[in-house]
Amino acid sequence: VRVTNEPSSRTGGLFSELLRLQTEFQARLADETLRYLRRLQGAAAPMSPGTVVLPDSTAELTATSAPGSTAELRVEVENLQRVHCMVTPMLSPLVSISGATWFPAVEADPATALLAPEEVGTLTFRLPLPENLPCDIYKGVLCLQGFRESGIPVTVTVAMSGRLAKTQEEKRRRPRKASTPKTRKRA
Amino acid sequence: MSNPRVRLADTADGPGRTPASLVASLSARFVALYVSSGSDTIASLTAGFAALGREVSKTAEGMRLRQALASSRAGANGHLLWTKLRLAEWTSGIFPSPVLDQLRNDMALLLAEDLNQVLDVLPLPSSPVGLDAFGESPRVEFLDVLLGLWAFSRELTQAVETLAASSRSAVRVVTTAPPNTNTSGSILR
Repeated sequence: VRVTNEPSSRTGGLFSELLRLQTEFQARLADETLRYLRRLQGAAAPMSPGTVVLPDSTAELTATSAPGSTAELRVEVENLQRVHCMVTPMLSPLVSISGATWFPAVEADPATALLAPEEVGTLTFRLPLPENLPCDIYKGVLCLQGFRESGIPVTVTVAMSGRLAKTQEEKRRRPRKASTPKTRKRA
Repeated sequence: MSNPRVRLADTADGPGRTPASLVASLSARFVALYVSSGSDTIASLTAGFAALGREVSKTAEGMRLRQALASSRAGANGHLLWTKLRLAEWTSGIFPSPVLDQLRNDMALLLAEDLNQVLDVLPLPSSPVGLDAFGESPRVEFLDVLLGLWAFSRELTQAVETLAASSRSAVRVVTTAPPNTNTSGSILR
């Protein structure tokens, strides 16, 4: 078999195709072997004992507030472990039934709680409601960051306060004044 | 009306969080350094930060921060560096270190009451992660790592401040000795 370096040569073309396939195969094999070895190496890594969240079946954080005011949520956290446990709560975006998504600027108190064994701590969250937030029921999840299977359902009902709702209703019912067309004097 | 309550418990599939298991895990991490390369160690830590960043990105604060970073020059340049230097290929597919668990476990050890007794019975065996722990690991992205580093460092700062808060003194000015006004002599006045 004659093997030439000329690109137009038919024999060389076939040979180079074979070489390309072989190179690709070897590269893929090396890649997969490396990945397998890394997984094998990771399997021997030391395990870090972790924490899971066990919520009550009825555990749901609920609040009702008006736009422009602040909603407050509270949850108690009990540490059943034999050593101290750190808790960093974070809230997911809240989505309304009509499809509006609200990214609340949450003030958590404390931002990170350190709980001793058998200690019960209370976490408080203040959610300032924007003035232009549409009235609706918003749902989301309170995540206890870093814990496996974490998440406590959160429902915030945004409704106008009685007085504000009454004013708005009156404004809506009030008949509009007939507007007089402006006349322009001819010069 | 009582507040809803959640309980924090040990995982069912692993060792419980006791001072002994935390010491075993910590010492095993140091031992693992002898048998793993620097490259793999850093890649594993980076993958761990990325996993944390992915988790934080699901929250309102994390999502807001991520969107701000993604639309900034820093985000674009970071992504460019990450892609051109093929850092995703280096860090993806490796076991992600559970960096937050490790931080929390180390903090718990600092507060353990019976640490002396536990250290007396060293060496303690540590459980390996095992192949079952491997799921489909997502590709490690630049913004995941950045957000993971942010969340980790924030927790670390708050943890250290909380540890110090219990014994921090409210006194801000410390007077060591009253000023000596009766100095005599020609040089020291």
